[in-house]
Amino acid sequence: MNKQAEVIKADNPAREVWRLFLRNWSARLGLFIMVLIILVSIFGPGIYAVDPFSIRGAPFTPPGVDSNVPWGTDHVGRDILAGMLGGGRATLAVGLSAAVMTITIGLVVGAFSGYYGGLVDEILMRITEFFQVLPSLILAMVLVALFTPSLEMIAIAIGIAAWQSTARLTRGEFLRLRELEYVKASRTIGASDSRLMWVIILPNALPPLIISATLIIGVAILFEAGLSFLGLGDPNVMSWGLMIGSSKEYIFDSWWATAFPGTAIFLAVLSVSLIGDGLNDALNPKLRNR
Amino acid sequence: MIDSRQHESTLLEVNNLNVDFNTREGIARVLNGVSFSLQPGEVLGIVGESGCGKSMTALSIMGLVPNPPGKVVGGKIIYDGENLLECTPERMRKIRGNHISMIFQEPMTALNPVIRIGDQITESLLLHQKLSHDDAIDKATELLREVHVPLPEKRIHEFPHQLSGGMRQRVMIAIALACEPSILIADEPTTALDVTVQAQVFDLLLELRQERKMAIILITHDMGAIAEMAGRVLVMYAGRVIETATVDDILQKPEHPYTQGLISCVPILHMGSDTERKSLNEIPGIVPSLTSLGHGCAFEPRCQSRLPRCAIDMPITFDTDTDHKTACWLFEQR
Repeated sequence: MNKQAEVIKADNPAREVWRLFLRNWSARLGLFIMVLIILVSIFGPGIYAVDPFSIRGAPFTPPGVDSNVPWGTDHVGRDILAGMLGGGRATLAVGLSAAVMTITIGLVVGAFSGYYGGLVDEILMRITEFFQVLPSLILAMVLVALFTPSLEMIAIAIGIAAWQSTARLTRGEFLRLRELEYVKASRTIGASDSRLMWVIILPNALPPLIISATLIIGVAILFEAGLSFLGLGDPNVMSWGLMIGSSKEYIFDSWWATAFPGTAIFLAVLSVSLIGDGLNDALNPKLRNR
Repeated sequence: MIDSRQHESTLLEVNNLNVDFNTREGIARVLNGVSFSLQPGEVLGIVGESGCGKSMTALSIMGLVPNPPGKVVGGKIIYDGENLLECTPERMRKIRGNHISMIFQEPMTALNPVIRIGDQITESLLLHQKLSHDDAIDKATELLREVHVPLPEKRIHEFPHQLSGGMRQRVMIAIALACEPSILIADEPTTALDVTVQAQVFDLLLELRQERKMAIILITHDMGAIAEMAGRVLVMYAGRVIETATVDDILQKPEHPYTQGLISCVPILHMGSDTERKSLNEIPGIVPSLTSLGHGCAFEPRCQSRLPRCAIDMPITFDTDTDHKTACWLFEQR
């Protein structure tokens, strides 16, 4: 047996994806913004320890006038900077947990649908379509309005309103993968259905799911902002959406009270999209040599 | 007739197996009255054109006929006194991999790209035998050594994309052999490999059969592979077994016109300077659609020596010699 022909250079696939990801300048930018937002949200409220609900200065103080409130105050005199820092936490937490909810529901429905096919597929896909035709923001509004508007409930409501595309994507991947020979090969050595679904097929279906999970974080942040803007957010937790919502009537008197959180939401969603796009390029071999 | 002494030692017996497929054009009978038996340690070759039911026979034995659209509608598959067609799915899972294993055509796609070689080999060991993870890894290393993969200690930590095609097929064989099955079904195991690697894989299979007293069902359309490996051969056409004989009989005195055609289609490599280059034979016509089979012999439209009754009556199987059976009206008088 010729041994040297068999020595092929081992390359860790995860490291390869990371390298390709970093080669993309927009992905780097997205990652930079996201890391910045996360760091500021984690450490900001500790360093600038001000309760975002407390009244700290005169109403409508513009930024840079009062050194006590460097980013100005809103219509009741609350500190905008404290709101930005505290609101970042809430927005990110809701975005992330809603994305987890969405992925979990979508993954389970899609996996069962794609793996078993037939009647199971038919029933689950009709349910998916039912949710798909409902306007998702309105569905989330109804769910939040029916129950207590806490952060957990908002995350769950977003999850219930936004899982359909993940389910369809997962179903498609499972439909494709279940016919492959290595899945059949595992079947021939006696693997059970659940093992085939979660251990054999799922890891191979992950790349497109990771991309969609990233993008769903952005969608979830927008949903949370939208709900808060409409006054359906958690009134006891400062979030960027809540800040915009409560200051929207004074937008001509105090532009800063809406512009800062608005920009923050824009940057958060943009960074998530850039990261998702970069991951897509890195994980999809067909796009690698662009 | 199978005498009782022979019956007792039979490892696997397939009896009058019928499999239907629901297609848009109607019901296609992809396996029609397939019967054969397999003795311990024997290599049984199944040959035929694409779509003749070779692979479907294998899938039926494994209990993996895709359903829908396929359905086993009749017959028996007796393994070790147990009818596999009446097993519960749980029982069938225990048999798969542990008693009957299968290797596939495409070593490139038959390994899971995201799981390390070692974990793929230990999968069936952990499923069927109560081995600890460390013991299973040791066993996997041993198996890789047995199928002549160099540096097995290193290979078990690698991913499939880091191996060549021949190596992957060896890994496939190691996976199939992990639980020491008594039957190995090899579905065109070498079609995707170079000829030199093919020969190595065949040698390996024969060697393993010798060591483990394992029966092999070799499914192929490659007559060369049959000549090299098989002891007995089953020739299939349009879902039926049309001829069964020892490999020497099949190659030297094929009886069914289809088998004769098949043999004459094989190119001859050893050409001396005195032999003229002849054009290859071919069997005229195409394999009939399984949804539109008439009452007669499925090969009748392409047959050179057809009789009037061939178009009307399905030929029954005649014993033409010891251990030689042919389903053709030409052999009725014998």
